Amino acid sequence: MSGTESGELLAAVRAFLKSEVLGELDGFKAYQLRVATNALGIVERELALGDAVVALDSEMAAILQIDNGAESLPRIIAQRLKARSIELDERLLSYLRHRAQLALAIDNPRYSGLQQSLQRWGDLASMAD
Amino acid sequence: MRKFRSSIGVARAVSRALGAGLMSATNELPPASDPAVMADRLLAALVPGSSGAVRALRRLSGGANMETWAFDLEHGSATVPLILRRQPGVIGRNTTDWNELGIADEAALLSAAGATGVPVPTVRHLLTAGDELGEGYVMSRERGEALPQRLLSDARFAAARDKLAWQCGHALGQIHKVPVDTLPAGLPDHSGPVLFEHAQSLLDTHDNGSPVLQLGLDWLRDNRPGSQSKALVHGDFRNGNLLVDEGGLVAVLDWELAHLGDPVRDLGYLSANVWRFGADAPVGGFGQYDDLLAGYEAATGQRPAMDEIIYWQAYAALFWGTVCLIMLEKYRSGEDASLERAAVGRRLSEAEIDLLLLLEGNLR
Repeated sequence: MSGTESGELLAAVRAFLKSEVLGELDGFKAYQLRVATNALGIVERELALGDAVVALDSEMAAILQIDNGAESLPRIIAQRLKARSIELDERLLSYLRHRAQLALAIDNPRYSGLQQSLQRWGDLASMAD
Repeated sequence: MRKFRSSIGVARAVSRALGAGLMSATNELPPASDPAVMADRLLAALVPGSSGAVRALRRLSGGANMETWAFDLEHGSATVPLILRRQPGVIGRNTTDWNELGIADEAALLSAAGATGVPVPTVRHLLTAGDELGEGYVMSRERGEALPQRLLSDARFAAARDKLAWQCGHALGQIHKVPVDTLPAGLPDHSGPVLFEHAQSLLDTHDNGSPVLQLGLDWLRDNRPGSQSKALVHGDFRNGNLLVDEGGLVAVLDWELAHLGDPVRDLGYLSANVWRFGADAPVGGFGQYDDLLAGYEAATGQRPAMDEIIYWQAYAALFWGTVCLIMLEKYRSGEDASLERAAVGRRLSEAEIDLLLLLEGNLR
């Protein structure tokens, strides 16, 4: 791939919608446009942080000796928790915390719970430790 | 009253996912939605002989959920602001084993709660088949603001914000004291373990891919409060469903998730992080626990323990996470392929972080 990067395209579209289109709308349509620009922001952040989620899952899959293939590791863990066939030890809890932090940093970094969790559990950069 | 029903309509959708299965499917076609036709029929339904006029009829809510319309009834020299709430039709309903409050029961519940002093809109008319407007009811349109961000930031609500936690506590106390024998028979009973059995089945049928929601549910099951009473629970009592003016609480709206259950659930729900809208104050983003509990105690003589409130905050987080899964499913199935539904599916991580924070220190 060369030329404008995906994240740059998204940022440009988002800026256009916010600066040129939003002012033309009101009521429910303006509200929906804000939802739309937020959604583009999620994709932008996922482009930047998605690799960290994949790395975190790979590391935990190796620790748990799970060969999840194409299936999502969280889904497998959810099933095992339901069956009570996996122990909730400090390592698993730490993985769940850091994965939730990463997901929130992508989905809604302004959510107050993310700031609280960063204060309590440390920041995202140290999560793969 | 301005109110965009974004996450608000979600509540209706979850209650429908919780199972409109028991509702009658006799209403095969969506009711008339041409405003001119509706206005004529509303006038005929509300005023014998159709003297007067229905003006400014407009729909307030979007999407496939419960419809809310605002209009003004001009009759004689009076102009009366009113709201029409009605069921959209039966297209795309899920069927599950859960029951929900039907629209006629919702109207009956509003009247029963209003009769004991709970601040609610006044039900003016229950639609009949002869009205040809579908299933629903007409109620008073109360003054005030329901939009959370405006309530939390607008200077004109500063005095109201100071009183609101106490008023909410008092109103919740009044709700929980409504005599059970005055409530509509169709009110669902969610007391006891059925609540958690149902939460599990919702996770299972909505592609449970979240270990954190499962962990939260397991913890809630294992740590149920010892003393549980059973009362009318509003079920969706939060910032966004409260009409507030400069003097504080005017009316409690959105009763569609009402049920019989543990009353402390309402206090935990109101103070859950997701319903603080980013503000610091624990009660709805506007108030403090002490004021909430003082208001509750003034109405009931009882003061629930903080650890029970925290317990129900965890339940509220699980509930919100489940709503996100249900919304995602509605988007993917095409039942409601709207941008809002797609976007809400990404708010699961809010529920997960809240659950993990709440369970911290309680897990081992």
